[in-house]
Amino acid sequence: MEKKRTKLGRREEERIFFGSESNKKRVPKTIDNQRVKNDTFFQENDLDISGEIVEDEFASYFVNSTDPKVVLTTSRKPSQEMFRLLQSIFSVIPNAYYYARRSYYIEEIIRHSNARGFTDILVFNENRKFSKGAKINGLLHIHLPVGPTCLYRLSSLVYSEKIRNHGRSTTHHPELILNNFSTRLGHRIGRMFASIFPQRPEFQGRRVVTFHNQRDFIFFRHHRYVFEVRNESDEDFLAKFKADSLCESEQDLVQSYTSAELTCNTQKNSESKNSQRRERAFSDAFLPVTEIKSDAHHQSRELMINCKHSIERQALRARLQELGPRFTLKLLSIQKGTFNSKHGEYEYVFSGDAGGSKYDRRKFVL
Amino acid sequence: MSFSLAERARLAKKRDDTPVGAMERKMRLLAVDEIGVHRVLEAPSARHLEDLAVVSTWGESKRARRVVTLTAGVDATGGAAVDANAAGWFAMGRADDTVDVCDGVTGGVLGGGSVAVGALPVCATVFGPSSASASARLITVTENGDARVHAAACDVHAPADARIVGEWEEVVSNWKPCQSAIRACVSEDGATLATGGKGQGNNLKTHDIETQKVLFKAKAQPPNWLGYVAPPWVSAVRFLPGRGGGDGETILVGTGDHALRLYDLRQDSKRAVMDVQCGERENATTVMAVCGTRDGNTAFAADARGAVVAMDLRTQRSRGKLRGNSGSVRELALHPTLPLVATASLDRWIRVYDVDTCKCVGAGYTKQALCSVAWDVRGPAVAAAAAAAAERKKAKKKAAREGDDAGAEVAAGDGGGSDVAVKKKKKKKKRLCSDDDDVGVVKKKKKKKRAKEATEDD
Repeated sequence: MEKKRTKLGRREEERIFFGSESNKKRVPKTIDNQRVKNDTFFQENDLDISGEIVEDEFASYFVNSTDPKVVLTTSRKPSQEMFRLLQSIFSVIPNAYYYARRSYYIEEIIRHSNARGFTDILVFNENRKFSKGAKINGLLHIHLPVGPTCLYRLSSLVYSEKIRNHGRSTTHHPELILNNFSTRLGHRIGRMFASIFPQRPEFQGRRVVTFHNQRDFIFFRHHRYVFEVRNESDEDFLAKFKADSLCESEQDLVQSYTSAELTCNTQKNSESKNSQRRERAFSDAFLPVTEIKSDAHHQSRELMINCKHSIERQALRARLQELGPRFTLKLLSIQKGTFNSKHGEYEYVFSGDAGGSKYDRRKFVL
Repeated sequence: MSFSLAERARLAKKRDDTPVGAMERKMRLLAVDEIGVHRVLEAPSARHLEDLAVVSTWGESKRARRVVTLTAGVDATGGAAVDANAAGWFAMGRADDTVDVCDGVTGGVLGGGSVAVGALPVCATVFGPSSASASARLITVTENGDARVHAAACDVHAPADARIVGEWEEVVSNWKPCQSAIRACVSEDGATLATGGKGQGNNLKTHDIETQKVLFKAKAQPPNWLGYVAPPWVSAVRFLPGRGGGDGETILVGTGDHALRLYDLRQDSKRAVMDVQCGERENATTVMAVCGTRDGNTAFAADARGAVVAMDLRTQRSRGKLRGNSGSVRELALHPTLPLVATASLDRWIRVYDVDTCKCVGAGYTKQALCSVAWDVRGPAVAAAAAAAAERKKAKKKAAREGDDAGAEVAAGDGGGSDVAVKKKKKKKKRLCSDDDDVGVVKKKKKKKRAKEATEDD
């Protein structure tokens, strides 16, 4: 047993140092990476599609002729929970205005918002009223002035305060990451999300909002990132790496490297317990930016190859701090035009009948 | 309810009895979309509809010129100038208040360009020259209830894309069959116009196109138990083709409050002879399109959430659903000769269903939200004549080879080379969709078994 473990460890080491092909880890089969590709996938340089994009409902936003201005409102009689959420949503979306729902119909809100030059309405819905157990379970997103309207199921909501070592958001315009929206429908949704946020991010804020689609669930995350150049000794790094032989895939490699680096750092500076915890939170944080990821990985790999010879080197590190809130969205319907649940025309309705996933779990629509 | 085995066998037989070569003919569909582009979808034959794919795209993308209505032209030449290369015509109403008459092969606009109609067209139908008139006629109805008839001179001996030689000239104007129209429809013989809209006074009406006189005015449905009569809201109109031997006598109507109605003009009652609700109560939306089969037994009603129900008109009950659409179905197009119905949906798919089994037999992705779809069979009269010509050719060949039993298969090709007659009766193939696309067809064991029994019965 002992022998086997050491052997495995050595192979792992070899793989890391020399990038040996023979010992390459096999990629596990997942529903996500076995996804069935079909005609609905977005293709680059398709004249048909570009013809539509220049004239669709979001075109004016993408040519910078309109700036987003968002109405935030709730279902009727919102609970305390709802205001907690709205507070954190305010920190995410610039140029958002809260209007009390009172007993207005959504059609009325649309009319008034149109008259005041708003571009989007977000209506958060709660399932239970007048009770402690009120749960926020839905989001209605209406793009103005002519639609479309999207209805989402909202789940797995975690407020900023509940996220360990969360940061406080600044008022800079965020950067936006739309991940894995691969079909025509997905692109439409992506464009709709994009049109809530100002087009020019303020990079000095280092604030990033992520909509990550995975198996038709859209994960919303909000982070602050930082790139740092550090001096660092190899021994610390290697010691950490040997101890942590669990790193599996390339992604893990980056993460474990980051954590290794962080531990080294804290040991060196012998900071307080508090800061150690903070650092760990950084390393645990979700890494959304592919560029950052690949960059960091590239760097770390290069460093690892060289580290046999060099003793002291500089490294560029990306670190993340989650700002919150986080939640998951599931698209229930896209309706053409502004909200009209009774007589509106739907572009997409999630249903067992038509949706691919019921008959083939590897089929997705976004 | 479901059909008995005997009934299924009869329906299966009916499909095999369709005109010679009809099943083998190339299937061609024209789809129009929200950015004003039209696309041609083709499948090699009716037996291979799973290969349906876009083959050509016409027109420039311009949302302001998006197509709102599309109708396959009716060429009533009656076999006078039939040639194999003759093409169908299509009339398409566009959002910039114009109507185009297009040729089905090249997509070129016929009759000297677009025809301005003054408001958003809700119906545009083109008729070829007939025994009654030597010129082609274009009948249009707009949103605010104006109907117009345009005519253009024709050269009946020219091929279809050059048959219209004159320009469209307004023959009938200042005719207002209703105050506002949502949908309108012209009967297959081009004699009757049916219009319907929203609000009082816009219930279903039919007019004689020749005299512009009212033929029929539908009465509101009887009040319900509360004494309430819903104001009329006709959102889909379609003549039931050839029921009882005559055209323009039965009309299917879909309403904004998810009802499917059938009006029989031959009866004294001005009320619908059938009034049924489509879909479940909580999900029911506007009926976007209706269509009836040629035998007059089944009607399809499609709604704004993508649900399409097949209604048996004899029992007035649902017979099944056309499953698979995830967006609003805006048009249902029945194939003129084969038991097939095509749907155009906002989810960017064209799907083709078997009328008898309600199964999806083919689907094509068109990349844009669709507005309408029509079958291109090169005009029913032309197709029938071509089939007759093929029949004659076949008979001639058969006579020539009499006594020679070697010929098991005789091929009679027309000019396009798409028509192949198979003499040997093939065992009916069960058509299933390919597994890879989104048509959402389940292979249920039970149904499979039943279908198998039906074929054995046959």
